[in-house]
Amino acid sequence: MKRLTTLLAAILFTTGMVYAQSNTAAVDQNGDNQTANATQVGSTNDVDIDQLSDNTGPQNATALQTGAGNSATINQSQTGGGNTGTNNAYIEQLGDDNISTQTQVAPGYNGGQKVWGLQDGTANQLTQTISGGYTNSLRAEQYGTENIATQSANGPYADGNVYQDGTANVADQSLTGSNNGYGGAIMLINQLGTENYASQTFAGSGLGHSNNGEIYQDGFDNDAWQDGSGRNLNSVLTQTGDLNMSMQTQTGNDHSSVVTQMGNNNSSTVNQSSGSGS
Amino acid sequence: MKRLTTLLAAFLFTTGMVFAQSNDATINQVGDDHEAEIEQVGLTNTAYVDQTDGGGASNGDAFADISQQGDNNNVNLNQRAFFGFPDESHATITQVGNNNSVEGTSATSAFYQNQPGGILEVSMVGDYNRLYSLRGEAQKNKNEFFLDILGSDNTIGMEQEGGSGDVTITGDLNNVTLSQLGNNGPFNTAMVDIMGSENGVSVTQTMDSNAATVNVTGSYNSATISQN
Repeated sequence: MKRLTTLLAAILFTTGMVYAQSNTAAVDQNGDNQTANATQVGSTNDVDIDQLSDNTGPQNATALQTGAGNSATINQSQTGGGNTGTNNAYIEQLGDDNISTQTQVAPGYNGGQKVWGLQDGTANQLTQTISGGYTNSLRAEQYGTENIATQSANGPYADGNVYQDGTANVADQSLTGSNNGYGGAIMLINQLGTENYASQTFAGSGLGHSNNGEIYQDGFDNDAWQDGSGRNLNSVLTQTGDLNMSMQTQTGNDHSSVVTQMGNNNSSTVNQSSGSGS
Repeated sequence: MKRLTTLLAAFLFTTGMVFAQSNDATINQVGDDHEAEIEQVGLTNTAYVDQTDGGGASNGDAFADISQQGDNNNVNLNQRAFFGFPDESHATITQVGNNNSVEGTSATSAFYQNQPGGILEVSMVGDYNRLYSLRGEAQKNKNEFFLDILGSDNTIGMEQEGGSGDVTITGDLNNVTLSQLGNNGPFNTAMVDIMGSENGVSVTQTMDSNAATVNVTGSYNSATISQN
């Protein structure tokens, strides 16, 4: 009986340890030139930062989490007239099973929106979305295994960058809008490791729209997809290693595709068609 | 003669009002079931309430109500050893004016409330006010702290060991540091609402299952939450 009691106590203690953290931090800011910082150490913690500006100044938000099963969300919105964007959101998560979500919404004439996410661990998820604005920048860094990074933006002059180092990681980028790539901005996925998957979709219009997508994979058994439509398309895909596969599809307007594969048992397909263009 | 007496009384009363500008009130209560009330109007007033149970097991309440109107006033409070539930410990401090403070003069004589279930309510109307405990935590053992500020350039440094903090500010250039320690158990909560600009808020919580919420409307505000 004593042994059972001890066992039960041990289980309860262990259970208590598992659910022991659960800190929550929420910041809501309405105005301009706001700064929000949240730091959490432990497990199953939650950070939620919401910032709203009426286009009178930039917002800055940072969330740092160390531990497992954490969730961090930063939402930044701008409304009204003016041209003073430059919202910045940064999330850093060190540990496993973490979720990072960054969302920015801005009128079309607000430039310089930036999101940057970094995760180091296993089975982390990172999602970045920018709606509206221009000269938007998305940056995702993941180190470890089974991580997923998703980026999407629909404003002009945007650039997206995903860097992953590890195994069985997934990177997915979607860039639409006009004049992307005009100022040398690109859509880039760089993966080091094995069994990684990279996918890029870009579409757009505008006289200066160059639509440039690049994927670099260095490792074994990697897959890469590039799907572009509209205007001056330029797709670059480089794979170094064995058993890699790539597929490029380009529809509408000028096409340029460059595929380089170095290694054994690699395969590559390129489809180019006129499509409807833009 | 009666007229002279009336005149003298009027003169003394008037004199009393004039010299009331600098008052010093101290209430020391030892035992159970205390009530202390201090009301001061003027400049450079000092109010001190010390309520303790006298070293024995307490079965009683402690109430302190301190109100100051004017500038350069100071309140210090020491409520301790009333082990609440159902007993109650409740301090209400109201300061209307500028350059007022709620704090002691040293770590050993610091502003302090210590008993489970204690409630501290502070209201400040004015500018350049300050609330801070020189001993570190101003509240200990699961207490509640409510602070309302209507004014600017105020400095608040509040440390609790287990408890909840609720801060509401309307004004600019205020600096609020809320530190909540989880030494005797988790579940600290912090809620900060600000309407104004150039305010700084810092919330630090230790141990587990804490919750912090900061709501701000204005410009150039900064909010930092640290939980570990």
